[in-house]
Amino acid sequence: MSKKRCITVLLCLLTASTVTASFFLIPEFRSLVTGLLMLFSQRSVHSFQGAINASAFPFLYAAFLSFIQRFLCWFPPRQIIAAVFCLGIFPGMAASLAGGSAACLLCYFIGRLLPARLRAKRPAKKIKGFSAFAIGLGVSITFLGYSGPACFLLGALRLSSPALLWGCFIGMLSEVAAYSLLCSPYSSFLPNNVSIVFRVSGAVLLCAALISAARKNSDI
Amino acid sequence: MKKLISIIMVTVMVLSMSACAAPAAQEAAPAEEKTAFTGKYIVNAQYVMDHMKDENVLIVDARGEDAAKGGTVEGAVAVIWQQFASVSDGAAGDPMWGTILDTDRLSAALGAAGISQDKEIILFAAAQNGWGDDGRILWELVAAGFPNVKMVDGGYDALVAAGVPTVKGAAAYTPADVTVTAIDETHVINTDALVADYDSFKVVDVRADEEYDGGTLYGEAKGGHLPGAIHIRFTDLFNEDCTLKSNDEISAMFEEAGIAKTDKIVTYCTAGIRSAYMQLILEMCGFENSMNYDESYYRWCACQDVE
Repeated sequence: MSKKRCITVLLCLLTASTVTASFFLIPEFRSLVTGLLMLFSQRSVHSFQGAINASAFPFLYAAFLSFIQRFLCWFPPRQIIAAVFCLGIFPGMAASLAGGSAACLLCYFIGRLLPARLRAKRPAKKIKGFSAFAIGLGVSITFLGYSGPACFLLGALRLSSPALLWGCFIGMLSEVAAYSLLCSPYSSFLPNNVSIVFRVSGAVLLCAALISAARKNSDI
Repeated sequence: MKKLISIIMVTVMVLSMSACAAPAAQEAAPAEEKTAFTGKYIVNAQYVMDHMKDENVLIVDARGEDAAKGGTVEGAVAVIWQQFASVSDGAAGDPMWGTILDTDRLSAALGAAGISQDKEIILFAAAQNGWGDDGRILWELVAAGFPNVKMVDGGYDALVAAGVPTVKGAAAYTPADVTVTAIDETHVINTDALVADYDSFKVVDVRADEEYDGGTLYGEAKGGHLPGAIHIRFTDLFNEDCTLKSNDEISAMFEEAGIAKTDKIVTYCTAGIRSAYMQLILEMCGFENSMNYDESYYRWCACQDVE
């Protein structure tokens, strides 16, 4: 392992240890964390609205909630709807995108930090350009809400094209737009037909991109 | 040596056989007959089966749309208690957070969900496996003057066991025109009133053991309980099959804890959900002078001392 990689891994472990120790040793921090988890587990757009309205910096807090949600991906992204209702449609979408993108980038780079024996043996250098963009987009919209773990996987597979991350971003933009425009505090799930269209389109795009990339690899 | 091993093996076999026989012996004993809880707000699964197709009946799944996606009663609409409480104005612990909405907002919220006074509203939730959401919403509807509201003893599990038709996904709302003119605060109390006359109340903490003992599981500002609070868990109201214990059992539980039917009782939990359910049960058991501390522990621990 290179020195730089070693330092990065150690820093990550130190951060994780500090956060864990704080949770057990500092009651106020524990309240903060359990309160945040409670916010998500209440499954209520209204509760998110309250938390955003009560914060000193609503835009930043909405972005922060979106950041956290990418790690708690089994909860539907209700904070998007809350952000839109609190901040307005465009600021709400922007906050959700900012937070979600930051989380996905972090997951991607954590994936790349995995030890060599847990990562792909060789970087998939040949997957770039439109294929990479299509993979990023396909993964994002097939696994709606799960773009955090998906980006982690892409990092672990050592897919390194910037186009990949742009694809993920565009996928997330579609997801945020759909939740912002089609959902409400009383109905926080996407309509079934919309979910199906997302997943089928994403799967088709992903398959086409992978087949195209495999053909390019075999041609070279 | 071989003899010793044989003796040990025979002994183990005999002991195993007796252990297996013991549960069978227990199963053979006649099952105790349970007396169902009765009260003006309680119905059983059979009642739902008999009335679910009536025009003026609205079945409400208080577990919310997530749970309803996995399975709910056919024709039921899904709501959560937060739709009818002031949670969108601030964070937990702020003054009046999580309390009943004012008349205008409550009218709008109920109307949007199609919950109107001209219908018989039958709520169900998840009994002791949930938060008592059905009781909380029923408590609010009673305060809002709804004349005909019920909740199902045993919750969704009892309905499924009784063979009530179920579907995946709740029914769409049919908005209605609802006007709530006043909130009846007979069974509502908030922090100022509680503090002003604290010693005259028997305060009942209905939270789980770890919460009462100081755990901050849900973002409370500090752990503990209200001074002198009597601990009777929300989950103590239920039998193993999620149905409510009988009126006599519940009354005895409270009397053994030193609470008389003439006492002024205040129930609380973290946000006033489980405690609203408890207050209704108390009322139906004859503890008429009972109130739900609507701001509950979230607010108390943010501004008052705890034990």
